[in-house]
Amino acid sequence: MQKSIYVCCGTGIATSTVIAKKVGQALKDNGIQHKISQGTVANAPTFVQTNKPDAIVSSADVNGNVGETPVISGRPFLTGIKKNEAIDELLNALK
Amino acid sequence: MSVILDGINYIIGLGVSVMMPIIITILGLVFRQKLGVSFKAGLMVGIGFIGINLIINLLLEEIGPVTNAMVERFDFQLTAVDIGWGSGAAVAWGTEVVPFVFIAIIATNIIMIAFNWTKTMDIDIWNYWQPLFISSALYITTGSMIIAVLSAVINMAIVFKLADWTQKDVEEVLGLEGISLPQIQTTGWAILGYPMNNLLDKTPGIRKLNWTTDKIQERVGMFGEPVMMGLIIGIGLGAAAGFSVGDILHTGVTVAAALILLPRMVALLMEGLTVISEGAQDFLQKRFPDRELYIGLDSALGIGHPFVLSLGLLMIPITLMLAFILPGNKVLPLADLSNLPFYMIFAILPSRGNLLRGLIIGTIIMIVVLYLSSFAAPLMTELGQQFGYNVPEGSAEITNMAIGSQWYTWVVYWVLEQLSGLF
Repeated sequence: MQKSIYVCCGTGIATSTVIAKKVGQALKDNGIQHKISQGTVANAPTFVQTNKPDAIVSSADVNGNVGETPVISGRPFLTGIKKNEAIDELLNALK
Repeated sequence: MSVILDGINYIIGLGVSVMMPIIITILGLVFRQKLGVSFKAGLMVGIGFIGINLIINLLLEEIGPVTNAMVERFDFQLTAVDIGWGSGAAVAWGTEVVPFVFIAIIATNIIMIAFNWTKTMDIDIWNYWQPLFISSALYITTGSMIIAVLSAVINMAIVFKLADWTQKDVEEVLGLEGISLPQIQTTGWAILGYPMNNLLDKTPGIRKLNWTTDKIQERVGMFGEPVMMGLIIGIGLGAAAGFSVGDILHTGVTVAAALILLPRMVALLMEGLTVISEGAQDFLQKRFPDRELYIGLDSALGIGHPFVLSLGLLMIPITLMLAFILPGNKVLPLADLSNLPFYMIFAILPSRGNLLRGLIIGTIIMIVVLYLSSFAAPLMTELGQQFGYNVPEGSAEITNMAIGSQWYTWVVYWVLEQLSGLF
């Protein structure tokens, strides 16, 4: 089944582009079909209501109401530090 | 040297959407990326420029008649339209200084790390547009490549130091472990934010007041979203211009459309730059494998924090009010209103989330931003016209609050412009 992931940062422009690219690569490497949407952290609650993603990957703190949707820090995808742990966390969230 | 310059001048003559794919491809190869990947990245940057220019012209066509009507109706003073940071970035990435300044910034960072002058390893290539803007402006006003490159070295050396000094608060308050924010728009304000906060610590009456930002985001968050803000401001402007109902609604929807579409176009440009960013990151990390360094990233990471976002939202009406009451202000705030949180991080970080302090310091920041953006308007208009923006006939100028928010770079600009006779 195709998994839906919402990747976000403060503006939905710069860092989320990098994260989306790396998350996409990691999921592809693990053979997971997916659809990535990109946007702002402020828009995360609205996105959750309308699109019900399976996970959120965010470079900024998500403080709105996103219900039960698992939120994974996107910073490891930017810095490369603890990136494998972040990928594992994402894979677990998508199970 | 003259052969190189002739070659560069030829490429520049082809226009930014052709020039940037070539420059980005070359930079990609310099940073050991594959030719195909680099070329595709360069092409995306060129496409991003075409998209940005389309949307900016759409916005200008809609706003031009509005400002002209308002000038006629009420002797309106706010004739420099804020068309958003994308216009500044487009100009910055679109002149012949780009390859030289780009290499100079990376070299400055490497040298400063090597001599232990900074711990910030800046991989935030997108925001190189900020020093690049001043470099491009200086190159156009003075014609000196040396001055253009020098300005970027000075501007970035300052922001690397500021990023180091503020890293502890960025980590503890914003929770960004091991990350610093070498972005001039944001961290430049630390120079003002911390002393102001200390002063307020000693001010009777204000000293003990602590307002929190709870619930603000929930209550007014919707109006901070570009789509709603664009619609409301567009309708307000159309009404003030005395348009018919149909035209008022048209202005509202067009402004909303521009505020939504412009970031999408910028995202294309950023997608292309990602390849360079990755190359530069590998390049830097390989050179300093054993050093404990902060990773310098976009301050977009910090603006999701509730007190930064809340202050940014509250500053939208305050900024609009300031624009109307400040004597001599020419800026009509518009497209960069949704980016105020970037300028507000160091209004509220020194007090660790005291909203009252944030509002006081934030107001002072916005006064400076408005005056600097007014000052920059003739320059931005000239640069924009060279870029093919259809600045409307009549009284209108273009500017953006983002260039005004890079306050100390204007000090560098002014000093170097004075010194330009020496080179």
